[in-house]
Amino acid sequence: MDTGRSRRQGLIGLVVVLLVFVAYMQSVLDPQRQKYQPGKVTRVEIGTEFIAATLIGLKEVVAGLLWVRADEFFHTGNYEAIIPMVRIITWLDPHQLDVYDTGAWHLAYNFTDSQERSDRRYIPAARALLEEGIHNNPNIFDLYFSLGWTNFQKIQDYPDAVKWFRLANTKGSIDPATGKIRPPKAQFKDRPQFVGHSLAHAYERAGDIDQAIAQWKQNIRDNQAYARQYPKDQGNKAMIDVANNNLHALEFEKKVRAEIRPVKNVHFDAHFQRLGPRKFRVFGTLDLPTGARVRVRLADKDFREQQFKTFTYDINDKQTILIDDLYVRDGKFDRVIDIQRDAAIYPLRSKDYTLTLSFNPLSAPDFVQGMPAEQKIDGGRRGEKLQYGAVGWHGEGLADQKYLVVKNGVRMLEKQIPLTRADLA
Amino acid sequence: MSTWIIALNTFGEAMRKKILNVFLILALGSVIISLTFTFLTFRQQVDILKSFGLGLIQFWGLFIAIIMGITLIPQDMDQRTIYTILSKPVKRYEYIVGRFLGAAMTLGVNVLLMGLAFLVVFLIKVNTGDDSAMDALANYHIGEFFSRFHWSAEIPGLIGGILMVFLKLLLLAAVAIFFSVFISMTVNFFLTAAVFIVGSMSSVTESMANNPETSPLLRVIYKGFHLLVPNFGNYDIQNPLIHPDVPQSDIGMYMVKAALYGLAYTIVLIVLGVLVFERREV
Repeated sequence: MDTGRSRRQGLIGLVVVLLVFVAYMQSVLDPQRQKYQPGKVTRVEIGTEFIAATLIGLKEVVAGLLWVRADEFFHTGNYEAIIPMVRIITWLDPHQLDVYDTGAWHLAYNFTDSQERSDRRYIPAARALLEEGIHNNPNIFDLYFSLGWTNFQKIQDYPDAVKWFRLANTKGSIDPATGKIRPPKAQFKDRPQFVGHSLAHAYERAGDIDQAIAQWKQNIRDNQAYARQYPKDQGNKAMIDVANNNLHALEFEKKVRAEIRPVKNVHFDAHFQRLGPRKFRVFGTLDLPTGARVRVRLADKDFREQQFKTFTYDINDKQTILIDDLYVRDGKFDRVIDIQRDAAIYPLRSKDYTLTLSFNPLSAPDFVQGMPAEQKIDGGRRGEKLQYGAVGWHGEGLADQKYLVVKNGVRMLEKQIPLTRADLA
Repeated sequence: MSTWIIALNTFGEAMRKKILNVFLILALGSVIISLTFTFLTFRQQVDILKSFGLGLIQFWGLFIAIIMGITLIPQDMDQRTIYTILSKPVKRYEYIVGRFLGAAMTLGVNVLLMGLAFLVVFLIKVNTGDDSAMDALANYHIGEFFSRFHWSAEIPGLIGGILMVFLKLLLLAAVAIFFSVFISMTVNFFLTAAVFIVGSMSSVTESMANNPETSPLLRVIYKGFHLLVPNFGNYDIQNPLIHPDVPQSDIGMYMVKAALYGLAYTIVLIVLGVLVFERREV
């Protein structure tokens, strides 16, 4: 009797000891387990069918098939349906780079008003989606590059573009045939040459010309190393030539633009004219070559861009933000902005608004910044003098009497027009 | 010795069960069907094939583990064969342990067969395409088939994935067998399934335990829950196997730790089953 009881007690003791061991092992496994399972995602509503798929171990299958379905939505123009699917797919499988990339592109570009301006309220969501993708795929260049490109092309935040392109330029790429990361070879990680090229362009746009020149030199070395590694790639010579031409052009421009002085009064001015409810005209003057652009930004007076710690497409639908670029022709710009059919994108809920018209020389095309009249980049003859009206990279040539402002060392033009809801609605 | 004899008997009985054979055939068929995902790009096809194959082994393995786990002991009681067994010089713990080992062998053979079918299908897929080994075979060029055939570097990882599925199913079978000692088959089916569902949500229970917005008391409760419920999510390593670009430098050590965890938990369940069964009137 006593033997049986003590045996029982021994077994219970064994169970307790093993349960402590189990709890310890679980706490040891937890940090590692997170690496092998979908990444840090919160605020996600997932349908029960997807939870079921997760439980039986088919989540990557469901993710792949959902992405095929999302592609159908894309081809039928049903963009609204794609973003929730992006959320679900990246939750099911956080390593599908295409899904982050395409989803962020949809958010940043494809929700447009009736005049093809994108809905800027989705920009923070696009950024957060890419950042989540980077968090889950830190060793691959793709999403760093996409975030850099979104900053470069869409947001025009060039220092941020530099930041992300620089990171992209230190990462590897996935071999499309095997799905594995190509290992670092020669002096560079094995990624497409356009990553380094984009970084050099971003340095230039950010106004860091010396760094841009240094990057083009590095790009030439990288492209030559790439060509040695993959001698059969047909684009090798073209990429080396592109980097060489860009380097020489930039060095030449640096030399001639160093002589630009603030002599050019561009007579910048801008006006707002109400044409009716949700319809207005923006016009003005800017004495720069045809092809220069003036940026127009209409926003709530107290507009603050949303900050998302994690990706959500739950945007603030009470905010109004409109951005457009106006084409300058013969020293004038003029655009009718009609948002009558876009009440969902521009709700005009605020009482007060600010209409900002600006010219940033860093965003301007080469011929506005200043290019020798006879310059031909493709190896032709190069002139020695800039054409009249060159403004330089940092606005060195600008001498406007009314609206010249200096921001982060850049001389730019900016006029702000306060408006009320009555002016717009 | 008695334990081993019971285990072998259990294995023999289980392998003769028609329903388990049906599950096995369905599983093999499903794995082969996964070759038909030709509407995707090649890379996607391979990814889906890996996910589908590992998922199907787990899916059908779940049925086999639960059905077998919940029926082994109640069946003996219903058919009264347990009287015959226990009237012989067989101790109760030998009976429980023997039943579990038999179930483990059955699961092992089933997972092995499904895993082999999956690996063959995978090798066929990676050797498919223009000028590939399968292309040569289709043209009856046997010599070229062997010269073109190549093993995939992903095979060891996939074998590891199959092994993890087996460990998960083993733990699940232990849960089912433990409940079967004192609960009816129908209730046991749902109870085991519920434990599996809760235990598969490792990331959910962990985030509940670590959420700073939760009260300290609740966090302790959640933490205890997370640490003590059998955590089937520990065995989900499909994602890095499907995406070879995900770093997996220490995955071997992780698998060892997960195996130790499963072994300890399985012993706990079997010992608890023995303790309950020894008190039960049969």
